[in-house]
Amino acid sequence: MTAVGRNVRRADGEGKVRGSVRYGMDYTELGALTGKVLRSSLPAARIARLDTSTAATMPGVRAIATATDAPGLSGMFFVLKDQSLFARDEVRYAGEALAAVAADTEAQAEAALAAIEVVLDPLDPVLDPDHALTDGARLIHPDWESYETIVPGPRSGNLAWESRIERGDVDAAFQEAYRVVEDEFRTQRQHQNSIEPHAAVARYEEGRYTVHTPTQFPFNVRGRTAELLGVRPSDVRVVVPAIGGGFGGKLDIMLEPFACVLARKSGRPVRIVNTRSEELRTCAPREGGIVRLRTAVARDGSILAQEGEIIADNGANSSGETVACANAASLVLGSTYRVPNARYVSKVVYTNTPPTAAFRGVNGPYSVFAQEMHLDHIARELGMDRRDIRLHNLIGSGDVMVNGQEVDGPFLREAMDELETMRPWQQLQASKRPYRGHAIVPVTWLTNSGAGSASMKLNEDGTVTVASAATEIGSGAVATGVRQLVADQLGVDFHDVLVTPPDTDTGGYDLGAQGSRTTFGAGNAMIDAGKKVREQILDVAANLLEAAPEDLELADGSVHVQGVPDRRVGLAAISATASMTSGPIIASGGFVAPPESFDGGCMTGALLTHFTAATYHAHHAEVEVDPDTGRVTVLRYTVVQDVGRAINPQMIEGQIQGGVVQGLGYALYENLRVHGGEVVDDNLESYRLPIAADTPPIDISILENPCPYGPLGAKGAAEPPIVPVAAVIGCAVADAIGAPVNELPVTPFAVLQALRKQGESAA
Amino acid sequence: MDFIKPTTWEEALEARASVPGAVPIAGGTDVMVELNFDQHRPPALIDLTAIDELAHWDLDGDSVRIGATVSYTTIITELANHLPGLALAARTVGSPQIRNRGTAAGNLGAGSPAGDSHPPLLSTGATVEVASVRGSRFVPIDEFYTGVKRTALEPDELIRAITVPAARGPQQFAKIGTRNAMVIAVCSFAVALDPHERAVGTGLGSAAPTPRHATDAEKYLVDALPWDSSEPLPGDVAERFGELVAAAAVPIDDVRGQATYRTHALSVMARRTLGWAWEEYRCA
Ligand SMILES: Cc1cc2nc3c(=O)[nH]c(=O)nc-3n(C[C@H](O)[C@H](O)[C@H](O)COP(=O)(O)OP(=O)(O)OC[C@H]3O[C@@H](n4cnc5c(N)ncnc54)[C@H](O)[C@@H]3O)c2cc1C
Repeated sequence: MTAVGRNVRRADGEGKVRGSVRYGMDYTELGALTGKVLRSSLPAARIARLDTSTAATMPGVRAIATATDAPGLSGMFFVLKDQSLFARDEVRYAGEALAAVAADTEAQAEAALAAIEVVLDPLDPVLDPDHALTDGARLIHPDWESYETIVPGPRSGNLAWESRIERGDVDAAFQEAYRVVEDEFRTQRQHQNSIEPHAAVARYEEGRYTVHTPTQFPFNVRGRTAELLGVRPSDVRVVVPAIGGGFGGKLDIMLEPFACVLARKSGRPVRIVNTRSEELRTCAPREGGIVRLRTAVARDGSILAQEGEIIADNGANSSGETVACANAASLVLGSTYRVPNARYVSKVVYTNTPPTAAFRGVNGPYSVFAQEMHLDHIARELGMDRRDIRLHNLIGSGDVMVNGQEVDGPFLREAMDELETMRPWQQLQASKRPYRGHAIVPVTWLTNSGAGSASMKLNEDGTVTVASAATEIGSGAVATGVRQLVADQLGVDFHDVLVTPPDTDTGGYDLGAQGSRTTFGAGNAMIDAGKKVREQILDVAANLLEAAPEDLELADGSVHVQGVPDRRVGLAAISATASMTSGPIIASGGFVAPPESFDGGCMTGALLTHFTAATYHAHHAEVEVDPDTGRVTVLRYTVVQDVGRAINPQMIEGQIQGGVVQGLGYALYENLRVHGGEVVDDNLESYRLPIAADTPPIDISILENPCPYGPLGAKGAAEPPIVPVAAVIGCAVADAIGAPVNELPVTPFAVLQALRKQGESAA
Repeated sequence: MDFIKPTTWEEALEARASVPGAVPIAGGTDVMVELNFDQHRPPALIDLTAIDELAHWDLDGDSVRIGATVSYTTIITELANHLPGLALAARTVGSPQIRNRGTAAGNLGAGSPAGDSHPPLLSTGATVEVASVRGSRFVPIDEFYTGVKRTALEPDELIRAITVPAARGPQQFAKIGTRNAMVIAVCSFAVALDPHERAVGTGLGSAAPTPRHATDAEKYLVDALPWDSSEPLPGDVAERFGELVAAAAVPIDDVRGQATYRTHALSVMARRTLGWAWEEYRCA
């Protein structure tokens, strides 16, 4: 039986449910010391004095590291190198590292931290991104011009990075407009909150660092650690134990370089594990955003032109993906609807707050929230139905996205049509009750195009081992999905395909678990290796069976002559024969997505330029609002999602459910508040994650529009289900109360305020 | 840290008297959180869960006497008829795990203004039975709360039981949180009607430094309710009751909510719970 398309059971599920899996935070080494990091209590200050001499003499203290031990500057994806491991002369956020200690016990490490003498001369913190961009705002990085960048990027002062898209004649279109509608939206920081905190265990042997860390992206951790420490990437080996969740929060280095430095200085393995409070205070969340949209529309609801300004709060440095992803916001604004004339500016701004980073969907959720609330505003102005205005402008076959890239089919329309059969719009409109609302949101999203590689060998017993640095982030893509692909390709049982744990010494380069790319990118690389392994198998079998390779078939762990199932030879025998004749069967493969054509000339500062393996989605939600308390109850949620090809439908449904729930958290509850530069919500009692009781029934329909270069047609599936959720909920709440809500999260308090404002304007 | 596990009440009182600063532990759902976060290091824990008599409740005349280690789950499954207000509140505490371990006596011991047991205990006029080697006393619930996380317990005293009059009429409870479960109250409210005595009890949670009554609201309602009729609750009565409840609150702004929202929500909860209670009464 083939594996692809079936709900093959999650291979890592039982261990995770039974608790036998050893996660990164469970890992340690014999004699490991406990590492702890001393962090600034102030958001902005000059370091007047940092004296570790007393701390160094305390009992059990084996090493203390400070800025001189980590000479390098680095930045996420090596884009903008403005991050040092320890604050040097100036502190730029509350929580920035000042020193690190390794001691025999945690208590000794903490005592040593307390004994480090720190004198900070406070500076005026720059906290508000709009204010940061004003003339005369204090420069957070006075040396910004000296920083290295991957490509020249438009930036200046507190503007860390800017990306722009401009197409068509925007000003002329605004002249002709029937109406011009303008809005501003503000959204909060959202924390990834994986159950497992960041953890790292490092040792230093013969001039090389080995670090075990539950990272989503081992090669990034290797490169970034090396850069901060001032050594070569190959001087660092990253090994990845089971990961207890990441959601983007474990793409980048956090504790690894500290553990490495302390291991070198102490000569002992060093283990550092964050507390929940450290996670929330120092591990980079999704950035807060401000989106300003101005749209010119025709009388019939056609979008003639749109101007957008996206302000993304980078925090104090570019250690997260906020800069690298700046252009995604503009792309998303201009790829779901036809925007023939567009001017989008995405500004990533320094503030004296903890750095921000990737979280599932990056800036998509707030860009889509803004676009959809804005469209509803336009629909109100024009007296148009909310679904009609969306269908009227929906991007389809033959249309181009805002970057000039051609849309590959009528798939967004098909998603909307499928949704219509599940939730007939007019029927829902007609049966509306007071304080009930609903909304529909289409969205185009992408699959991360990044490189992957794999090597594959046929074992003596006829099983197959794949070595790869692809990481199992919890989606099941490595533990199960890619194994289904290889199993079918080589005609072996799913259980007979083994995948090695990620190790940068043995696995080829892989861009990590991000942007739904594992099944797509790593899967393609494995299929590429598998092709070559398959050829080698068939060559050996052809000799043994005295048949031409093209007449042979691989199935059930053996090779047989087509139409003659009895003339067969098992893979174990083939493996044995090969090692005595042509040599052991082994091959490697690689993948990077083919280029798409788009209009490069319309963009500046864009690191993400186009949509690879675009996916098409439509979401719908029904909500009820309690007009007295402001509470929002989500009654029902519906997702139609194009996945290219469903390798494992049940695992995809799991990703959709998880994405929707995370989106509901973003829409209604989660808010990592920063007051005066300090994180307010440093515990899970006040940082409110959604739980089972907040989760409505979620109906799912999976569409399959195969991608020509996806593995068996598959495209990314795991990231996008979070993207439109806040938009759907915002629009549905606005529908329920008859007033817009232009900020996230939509708290009971915000709902009451919107109701009150609406009552006042009615009176 | 010593771990003392008495098997009799007398041993427990003895331990409490002889180890100053020892912390009693029932379900441990507050105590263990504080210990895990290293908020304090008491010299000893006195585990009360091996004392058999504390783990039971009995109906004692017109009152239910709830032992100090009776869990919320037991209150929900066994006492919903006798003590509907407390059972409703117990249902909203934490998660099943927390309800299996946590106790109303622990809620009193912790003395948080946000504790969910307090409003129903206040609205029903419960009595807290406390004891030490010096003897026992019965503290009316109104006198039990003395400040933020401070109670009338003396350093050598333990709570032995809570005595709550069995319901003689409808009781209701409402809680507002920042999500739908596993949440500390932004504010909460309980109301109890006693048609025989023509009495009304209320209790406000997270509305002031201590849980408290809305005395004026109670007084108003005693006179304003059309006790002898089975007509629906007059809208103006519900409205006024809500206002008086809100007026009894002196809430603060904190990470969970704003004072203005709390005041508003209290009036909403007061109106609603009264509406539900009245419906039950007039349809009975
Ligand atoms: C995840 C989680 C969710 C929670 N959700 C809620 C919620 O929704 N609502 C709510 O009200 N609370 C909640 N709590 C707090 C806690 O569960 C309650 O306060 C519970 O009632 C405490 O009971 P316990 O038996 O576990 O008390 P313990 O933790 O054992 O004790 C609490 C305090 O009372 C003292 N104490 C205990 N027994 C006695 C006694 N017999 N005599 C004198 N002092 C005593 C202890 O020394 C301690 O100071 C939650 C806690 C957690 C961890």
